[in-house]
Amino acid sequence: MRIIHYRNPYLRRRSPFDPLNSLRGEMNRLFENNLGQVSQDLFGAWTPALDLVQDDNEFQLIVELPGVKKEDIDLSLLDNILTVSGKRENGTERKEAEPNRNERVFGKFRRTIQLPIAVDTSKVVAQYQDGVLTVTLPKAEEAKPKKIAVNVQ
Amino acid sequence: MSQTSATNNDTASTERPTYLTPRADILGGSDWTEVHLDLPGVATDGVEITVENQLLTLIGRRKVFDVSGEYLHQEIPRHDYRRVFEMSPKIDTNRIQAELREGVLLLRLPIAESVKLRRITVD
Repeated sequence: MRIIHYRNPYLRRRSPFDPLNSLRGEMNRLFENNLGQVSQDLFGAWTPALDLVQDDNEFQLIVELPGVKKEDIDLSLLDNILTVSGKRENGTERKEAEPNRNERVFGKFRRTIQLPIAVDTSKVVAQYQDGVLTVTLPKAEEAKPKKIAVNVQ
Repeated sequence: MSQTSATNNDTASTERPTYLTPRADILGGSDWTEVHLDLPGVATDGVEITVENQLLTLIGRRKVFDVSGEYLHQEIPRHDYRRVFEMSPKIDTNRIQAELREGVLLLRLPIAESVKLRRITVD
């Protein structure tokens, strides 16, 4: 039996370049940012981030809309093309206040996404909570993939 | 055996969580400062605000998405939010107010009475 000095392979060793590494991390984070964010920074218009998920029965569209009033959100569906649009107002403008940092983006937004198959438009449900819009779109019965039993003779 | 468990613990403690920096607007008035932060997906119980010396640390934890299925398109990051602000010593840290509405956190930082401008009249 021997005694070997145990060195945890996962433990990060401190190096004098740590601050540089964290800077590199920040730069990477900047470039890893999603496309919506990048286009927002380039073009000035607000492009809210969205997710589209599907399971066997429905699609779920999730859109980040912080600070948007429920009545300012418009949803429309035409030929499987779902459009979320509206405007975000800056309700905080005050005459006596001096803004010393303005990072948030306001104004009109519009996002369009095409759904791969038809949905049952009468059963679409939208919910807005904590600045996140969730739209549930059940797939149309006739468009759902069906399983066909194969009888092997 | 004991060594493997120690290794696991060590990795857990050295792992650094990744945070997103939420966008912020800061407005300053003569007797208050307001900070507005976009925190979509965070509910009231997910907000953690700590004040230590002149540092105000904000952490916003997202609600867990109860989404099952296949992602056809994904842009929303899953990271929690964190941002640290250095406050002016003029801020009365005991009277800071926070309010979360529609995914936007509003912090009201009042300026202490003791540092406000007072005019003294000469009798």
